Amino acid sequence: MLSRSAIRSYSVTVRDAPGNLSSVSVVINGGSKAGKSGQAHLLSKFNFLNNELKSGLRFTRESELLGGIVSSKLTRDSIILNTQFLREDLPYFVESLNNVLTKTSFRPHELSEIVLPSALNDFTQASKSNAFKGEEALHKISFKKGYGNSLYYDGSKSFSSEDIKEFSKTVYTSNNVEFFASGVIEEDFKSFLSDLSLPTTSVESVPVKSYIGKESRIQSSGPSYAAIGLPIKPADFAKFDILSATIGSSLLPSSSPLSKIGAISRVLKYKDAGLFIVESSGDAAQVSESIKKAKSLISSVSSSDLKSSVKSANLLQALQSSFESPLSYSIDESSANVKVTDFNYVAVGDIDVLPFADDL
Amino acid sequence: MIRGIKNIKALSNKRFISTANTTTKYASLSNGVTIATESNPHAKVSSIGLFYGAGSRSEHAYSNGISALTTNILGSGLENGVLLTSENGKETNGIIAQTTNDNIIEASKIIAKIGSNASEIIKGSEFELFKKQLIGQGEQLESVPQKMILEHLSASAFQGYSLGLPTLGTSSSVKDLQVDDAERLLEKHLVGSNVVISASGNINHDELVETIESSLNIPQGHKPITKPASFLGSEVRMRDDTLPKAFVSIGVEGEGFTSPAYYVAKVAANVFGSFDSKATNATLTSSKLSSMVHEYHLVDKFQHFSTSYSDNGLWGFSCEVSNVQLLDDFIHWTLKEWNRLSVSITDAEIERAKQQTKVQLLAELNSTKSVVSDIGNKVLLSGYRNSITEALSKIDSIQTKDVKAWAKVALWDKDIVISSTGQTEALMDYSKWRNQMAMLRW
Amino acid sequence: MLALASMNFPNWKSTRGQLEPKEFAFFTIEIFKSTNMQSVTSIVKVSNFILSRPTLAKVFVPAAKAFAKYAGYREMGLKFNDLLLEETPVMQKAISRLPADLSYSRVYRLITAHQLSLSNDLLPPNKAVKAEEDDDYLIPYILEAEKEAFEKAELDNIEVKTK
Repeated sequence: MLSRSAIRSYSVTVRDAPGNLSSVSVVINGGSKAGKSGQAHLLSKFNFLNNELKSGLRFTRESELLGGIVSSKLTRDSIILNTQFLREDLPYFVESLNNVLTKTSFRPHELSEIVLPSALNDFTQASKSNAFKGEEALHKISFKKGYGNSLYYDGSKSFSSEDIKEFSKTVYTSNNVEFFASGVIEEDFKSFLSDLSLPTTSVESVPVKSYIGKESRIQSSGPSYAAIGLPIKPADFAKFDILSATIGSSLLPSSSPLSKIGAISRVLKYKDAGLFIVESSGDAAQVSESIKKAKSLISSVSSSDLKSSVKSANLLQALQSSFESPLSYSIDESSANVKVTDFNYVAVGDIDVLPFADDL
Repeated sequence: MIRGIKNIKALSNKRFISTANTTTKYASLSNGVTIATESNPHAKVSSIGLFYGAGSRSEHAYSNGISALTTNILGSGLENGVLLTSENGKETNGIIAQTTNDNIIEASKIIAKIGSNASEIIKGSEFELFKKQLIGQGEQLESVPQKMILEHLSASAFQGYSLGLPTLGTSSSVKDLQVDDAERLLEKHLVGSNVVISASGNINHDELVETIESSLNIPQGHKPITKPASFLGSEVRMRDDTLPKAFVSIGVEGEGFTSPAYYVAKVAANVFGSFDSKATNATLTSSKLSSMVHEYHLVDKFQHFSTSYSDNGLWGFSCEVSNVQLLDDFIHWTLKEWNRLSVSITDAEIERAKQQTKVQLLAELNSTKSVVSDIGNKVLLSGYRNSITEALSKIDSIQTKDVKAWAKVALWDKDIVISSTGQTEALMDYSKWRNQMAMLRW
Repeated sequence: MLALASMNFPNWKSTRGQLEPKEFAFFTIEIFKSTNMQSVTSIVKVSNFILSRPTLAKVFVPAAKAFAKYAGYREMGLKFNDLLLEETPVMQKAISRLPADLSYSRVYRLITAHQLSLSNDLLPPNKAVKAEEDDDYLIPYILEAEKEAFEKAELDNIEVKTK
């Protein structure tokens, strides 16, 4: 049922599914890791606005009349256009996605009236959380470039609508977009997609460099946050899934060694890298205690503990996997060996109280 | 089909196809327990849940929170790749096991074991620790104004009845709960005809039924009678000027799961839908209310809801407003729009709302966990669950006159309940809004 | 009285800034009032029609140029587009979308005209706005804002015919 192939060099994954709902997503390899800081965020906000054939107003009204749910999301890896609609409306939504990719107008007034307020709101809302600030800092010190870019546009740099248009030309290219269609018939989807003609340009892939042993401290009001972070390679995802499942993962809410000391772990997975995070937030003194205990816990995990968590790690992987970003590496006992010695560290909040990396 | 839109080609270029929806398979065990499964070949995670018909509605003020507490104790843990979580509601509670597809039999054995030994598990548990956690959960909910006003909306609407009790109990009621209370609850509610086991994922129905049948030991027994509840027009105002905004929710008595107007109420809520002033589609979205309130920035966010319980429900909106001095303008225009639902709503608005309701209905069932919960709740509360096809055709058959007729009975000149927190200084008094539920002329 | 003003009007549909401005005729306020024309869009339509007919253009364009010359607003330091009624939602939107430099020079011209009006004076001929400077800097923005308003009105009133 699941097939992956290239038509006109587009990567297309189609699956038929029972039911009346169809969904088509375009995953564009051009998230905040690409371009200048904030450009990808602004570009993601331009999607589904005016294009040469149809105004954003007309598209919104028409798609709502068909009941469609559309969204344009941003991650560090990608911009993801998602559409969900009733099965019979496939042609309309494929055409709309086509228009977004090839015909968006990028009018200057849309930038100032719609795109900037919305983008800046994302940034202000997120920045209210010290955990978000900490996660951003952790990416910065772990990767510097690419995945180290800020996730959101922060307003410090000004871009014109032309700048965003130019940026879109570099990422909306045939070898840089992937289509995922669920609940559609393969031939149908491909025939509708044959109208799409995106430029083919070679996207230069920058090798991901990561750094270890760095520390960042940010003074900020609100609940304190401290995190240990470790940049990892995709080949090591299995190992860290096992470690995370063993000590306590945010995706597996249950009583765990980490939850008992007021901390939790996560494995952020990107295309070319990942970030293993152990974090704690709350009252500064309490966070200090928790993160110190968490540090000693990570370094004292026994291999038998790891081995007994393989099944849980498989569940962890399944919970993180989705149709648009499938995870398919295998997790077994051979991966149940991981030692964390060096790491990066961030402290956000009351940094007079929060410990330094050396104190852990 | 759609007049007024010039570029009609793209819209009418539809493909008419019919597809079979996933079917739900049912089985009844000798002790009265219903098993319902839905196969989803694409799922990476399979889920199985044990739902029973007990919640805050079956409690009283002194035992408030016992259903949630008991279920949280039963539904927690992670062993061998099976994650146990719990789901707390006003009329049902559920224990859900999630696992990888190859592990589903193991998960169903665990669910059966929990169902069979519930009382022993409670006795051997860290009861006090879970009480502390539940109080924490309740405090967490109270600290999010958007959620808090909704809990108080139903508390005020159904005051004096158990349906008005908070789902998670209050800090004082939970503090005094004893293991005995949990045992009494289980004895009364965890009985055959009050239990549904639902599963979704890459599963085999027969194998699952066999496993459950052989390992689940739940006593036979009758479903306890649902306690009565009646809607009371009222207001609760929790002014807190330290919050940055005003948060308000207004509702009328809505439709229960078994009501023939269940989908009509859902469609009516979607006529006004939801709105986020910072979303890129804020100026573009269809509802007339959103175009009205956007230009003068009367509201940051609003959303309409149609919440259902077994025999009644709540229908209304909740909003957050940072332009607090203009709060009454927003509510004024919203209630004026509600009036229009009875008198001058257009076919185009209803048609759009119907399509949106259909897609939402399908899109909400986006994980095996949400499917399991949907099955469990609907079967327990209404005795059956519509097939999706049936639900879609019911929505299709709704006409503008049906919505108008519903609005005339449910909305027009009806009592309302108001719940608010934050900077509510500019929120007018109850009678002003009550009077706006009808117009003298139109 | 039929009077005309001559204007430079860029073809609105293509990308702004890269087009050749072309001359077109513009009916003045009198026509606007007497024929009940509602929008700048419809005025532009009539103007384009006149320009597309050489016989009409031969009559109207020189008359329009003469009218604009003697109307006197250029001696007050204004362009024709500065005179358009701005107290409407469409005009407010159009003005708000002007690029910073155009917006600044518009305000500067308005202040100049106010000062001249106060001092009951006119600009010396060498400082008055020249015919070739009297461009349609605002028209494209008005047309776009009007198009949006028309489209919104249309979509707000769609009808659905159920099968």
